[in-house]
Amino acid sequence: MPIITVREISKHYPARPGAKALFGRGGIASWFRAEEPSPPALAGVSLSVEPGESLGIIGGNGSGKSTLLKILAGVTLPTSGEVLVEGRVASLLELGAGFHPMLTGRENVYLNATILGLRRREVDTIFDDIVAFSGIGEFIDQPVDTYSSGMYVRIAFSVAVHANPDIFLVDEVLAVGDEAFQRKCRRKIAELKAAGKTIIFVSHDLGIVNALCDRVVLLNRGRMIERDAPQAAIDYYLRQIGHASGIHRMQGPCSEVIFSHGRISLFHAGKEITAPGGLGLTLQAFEQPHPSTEADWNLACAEPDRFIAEGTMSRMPLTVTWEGKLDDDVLTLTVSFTAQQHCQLDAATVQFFLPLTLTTFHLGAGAIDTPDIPPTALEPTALTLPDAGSRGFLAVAPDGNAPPVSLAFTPGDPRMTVQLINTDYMTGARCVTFATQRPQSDREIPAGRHELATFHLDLGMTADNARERWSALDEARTVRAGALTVKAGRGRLACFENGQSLTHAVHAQAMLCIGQLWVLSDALAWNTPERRGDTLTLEARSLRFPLRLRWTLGSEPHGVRWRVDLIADDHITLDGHNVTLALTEDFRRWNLGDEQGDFPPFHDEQAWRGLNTRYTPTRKITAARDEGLAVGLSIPEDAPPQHPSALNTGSAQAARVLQFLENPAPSHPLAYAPGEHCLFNGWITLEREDV
Amino acid sequence: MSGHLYSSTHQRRIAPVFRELVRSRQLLLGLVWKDIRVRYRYTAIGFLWAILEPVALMLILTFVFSVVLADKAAFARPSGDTPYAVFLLCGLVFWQFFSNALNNATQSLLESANLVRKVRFTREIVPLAAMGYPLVNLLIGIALLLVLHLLLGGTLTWHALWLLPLLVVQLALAVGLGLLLSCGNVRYRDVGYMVSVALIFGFYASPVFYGLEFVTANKSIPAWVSVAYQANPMAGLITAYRDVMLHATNPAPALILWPALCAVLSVGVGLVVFRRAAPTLSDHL
Repeated sequence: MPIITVREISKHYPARPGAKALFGRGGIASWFRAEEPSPPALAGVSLSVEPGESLGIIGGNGSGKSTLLKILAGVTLPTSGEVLVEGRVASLLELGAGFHPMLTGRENVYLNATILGLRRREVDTIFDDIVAFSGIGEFIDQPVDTYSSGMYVRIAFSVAVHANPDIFLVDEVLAVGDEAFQRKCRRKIAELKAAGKTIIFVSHDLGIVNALCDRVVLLNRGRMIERDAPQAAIDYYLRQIGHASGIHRMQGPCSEVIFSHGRISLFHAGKEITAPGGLGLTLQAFEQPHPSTEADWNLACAEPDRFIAEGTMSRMPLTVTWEGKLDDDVLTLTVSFTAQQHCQLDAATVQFFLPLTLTTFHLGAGAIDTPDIPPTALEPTALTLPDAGSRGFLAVAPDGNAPPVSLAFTPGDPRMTVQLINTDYMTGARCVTFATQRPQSDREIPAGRHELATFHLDLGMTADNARERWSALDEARTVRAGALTVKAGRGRLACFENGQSLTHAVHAQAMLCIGQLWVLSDALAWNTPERRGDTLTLEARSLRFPLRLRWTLGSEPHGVRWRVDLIADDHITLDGHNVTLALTEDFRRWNLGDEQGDFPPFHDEQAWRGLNTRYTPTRKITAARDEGLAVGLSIPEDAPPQHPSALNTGSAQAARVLQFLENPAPSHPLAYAPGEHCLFNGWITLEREDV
Repeated sequence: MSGHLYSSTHQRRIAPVFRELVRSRQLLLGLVWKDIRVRYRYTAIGFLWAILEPVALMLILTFVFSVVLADKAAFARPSGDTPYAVFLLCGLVFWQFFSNALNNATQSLLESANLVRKVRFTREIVPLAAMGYPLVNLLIGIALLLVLHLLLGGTLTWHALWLLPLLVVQLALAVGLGLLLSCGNVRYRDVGYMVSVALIFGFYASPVFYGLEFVTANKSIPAWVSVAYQANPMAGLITAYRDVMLHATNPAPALILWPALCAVLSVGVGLVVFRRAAPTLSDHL
């Protein structure tokens, strides 16, 4: 039994006498003048709403949304057709109907509640709730014309929401008030929805409509165009009507990318694989968030397979640029921003919203199963990632009932961190954030272009080919030698034997000591690995020192070749350097050639503890695990031996470490002239002794 | 109000209006109470003005017609033992009610445009609530009148009970005209101006500060003027009020039949016209 039934309604607004000129239109003068009929505000609209349903109404300006709402609210009649509404309606569209400025808040609450249909006795019981929700406090006994506009909205909203009607008409009232109040409003609306109230939502924000509404109605010039599941209606809107300058659509063999005013939605085989909210960028300055959807967008380049969109931020002197290229279902997105002048930037976060159906996230070394979001979740929850240094992820749904999503990214700023978040219940999505948080001391950015990151998304993945295509992405940075697999990450190498992890914590890295400070290779800015046949080359540059590192990895019979070159752009002095191999804690014995020993239990929480006493230069160092497996580093015969070391990390990292190091005396640091210098050129070895 | 069905096609029916008005009585009373509270907020003597205003007007007019224009206005002052002040106050109290009620009602929909445009409720409430405050003033005025009458040596008899049916006729007349004029004013704002002028005219065209005999028994006034004069329902009503309250006589049937007929007509027409216009009022506001 529908709670609202609308049958073929049309609405023509009558000519208003005296509306034009002194002698009026529709008045006496109009009898002498031929009148053109004005276009109808609504024409032939029909729909029905079931109790407890939430319906979204979208459409451009002048589409008849407000007229339809007025008719649903019972404030006016359609010129033809019929409307049936069962139950009390409260409209949050324009708050404070009936508020008189000279009355106190208390008197106005009673009056407004009576207008909305409550009895005085009912108002008595909920009065305290109303005041508590609004946060007005003692001002409730002051005349309303002393209230600030924020207080006014809060008390008006509070009354409307506690008036317990059956049907709510809501619009961008949620955009008024400060952050805390908006959250309260959203929470309250979620509660209302859960309590079975019918909600009719009018908005220009397609994301919110998609998130909140069970169904969406699209109006255009008074006609109802589409009435369907939210995404279908919104797609239609974006395609046919929203072809304003800020929207672009690219299509691949079975994928589609829609860029809409700073938000990107991705589709595979016609279905959206992103959650509403899509992929978007938020900048933060002076503790205030500035989503890039707020910016003024236009497309500098709009081709079927690539686009460049520029958005001028309204409250920051920045232009955000999204560049996208769709090549055979693989989307490459580059996000950057250009500052017109030096300005303040606290953080830049790219947010990627994914549907709840994707529960397992595979990252670099491991995977995480995300928990469900309970209805009590009112705030987002961050989830711990098994491999925080991973440069990409693959998200899959159980039983393959939703297309998997894969993403690989290259950050422009090495400070970028990845986080996986379960949003609050109302938003109902997973969110992967790529955030660059700038330290307090470094919040001013100079004018010019700043690259944030480049993302590669494979939109052609289905549940079947996901693993293959994901491993294909993986292959690009993997080198194998026999049973040993080495995957190059961001300045670190992860080693595996037949899929099982050998390395842990810092994995395999190169470390440089400059000015008594240890710089780990994963703190440098690495670019995408380049593959040439069997060798993989990675290059990094340091943002603080005039140096670069180049790693060359190769597959050789002896093991995986690992060559570390230091490229100095200026004279550099190192107080030491090493290559480190951090293994899992189940490795028991270490062998540095001249010296051997057992790895004792971890002693301290943080501090690394050296285990060897002699540093006799050698060419091979290994660590052994129980079943006859030995992993280590070795140097070829034709190169000079280096000083080895075996260490335990702290219990926080729980890894066993082997190192080849150069630790000169403090009075004789290593000086490097500009140019290339090889720091290490050897192998990562894996040996199995037949048991 | 669950179980209550709003159907757009039934909005022009009159019968449901009465049930709705009874249901929304708290809203009606709330609006009247709001008017009263707001009117005297931030004043020093507050509600006393409800008494002071009519008394002041009475004093001024008494002064003008009894002292300043004493001889020239002798025709206006009736013979008999009722003091002019009381005679005047009686006319004033009921006329003021009529005048204020109509003026307020006419402007009521425009003033509550905010409410009408945003909330669904029985629109009749607005002009009715607008007449609430003048009604309160009327009751105070009647009390004041009785006090003054008794103080200045008059008597109160059972004839005064005629006041109740007379008030019913008066209220019906006001309500009917109020409904009609309020929705007319929304469509054509001219109505508001016309009503304002008409009521000023009405003050002089009704036996407020003079008696009805001045017109009916006056040789120098042409007959058609006399007849036209008596077409004013307030003419009969005010005279009837005076008869029952001050002169302790039953009112002449001729005096009250015509106003009663006018009242019935105006309520009928007012209800119908208002109901037709009510659902789409917000389009014009």
